[in-house]
Amino acid sequence: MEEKKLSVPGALVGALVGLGVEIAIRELTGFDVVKGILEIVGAGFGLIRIDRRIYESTVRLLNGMDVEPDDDYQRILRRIDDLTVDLPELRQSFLKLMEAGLRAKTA
Amino acid sequence: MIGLGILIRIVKAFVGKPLENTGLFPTRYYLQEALRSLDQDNIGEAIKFLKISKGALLDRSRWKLVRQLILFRCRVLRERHGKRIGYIEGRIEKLKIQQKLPWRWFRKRPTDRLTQYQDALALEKEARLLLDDYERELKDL
Repeated sequence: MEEKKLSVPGALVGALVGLGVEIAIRELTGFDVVKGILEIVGAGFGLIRIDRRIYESTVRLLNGMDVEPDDDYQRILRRIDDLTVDLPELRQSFLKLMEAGLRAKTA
Repeated sequence: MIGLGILIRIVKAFVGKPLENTGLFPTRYYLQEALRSLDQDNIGEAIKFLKISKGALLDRSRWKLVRQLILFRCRVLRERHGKRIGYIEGRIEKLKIQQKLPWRWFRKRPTDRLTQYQDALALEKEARLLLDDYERELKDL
């Protein structure tokens, strides 16, 4: 069997070329390749529960709103509107949660 | 699975904490940490984690949602402080009026009550200012 030879200058040249390509891509496209690869690796390693975590926090924040005992659905909706006037995605999430809650209550 | 969870926690404790400021970890790690800080109403730390993961490529929409969650919490807390400020200001006004009434001159006055209210008012106003700053910071992100 042929013995494999490791070349240190070859490895250094490879690393330099890789770095050069990474910098060139970042300069040309604005994408950080190394960070992107790390993100893919991270997504694969057990950090897939983020959506559930975001959902839990959304529910907790909605429950954490100060609601008066005599507040009705419309008034709470108005308050959510006021607080999320420039937060469209969050507003949608809140509305969906409230609708689901109402449906569960009426069912 | 339990073993894996413990292993992840140990690795996180030994490697995660010292290296998290480098920004080398994936966005989801920082988002998890930001949400954990948000659970404890530690807005400053949540913003710190959000700033570190600002250049997210894959989880941009999740990053935006977490930013909006923090902003929302800031507003809810600011509103709460606003209510307290209104209440304390009302109490101070009432105390000042009561002090002017003649019958109060013959009674022992709780001299420190007004000071206590004023101290609490200053703290509440400080907290509201801090939340205003956080909100501005989050909007600029």
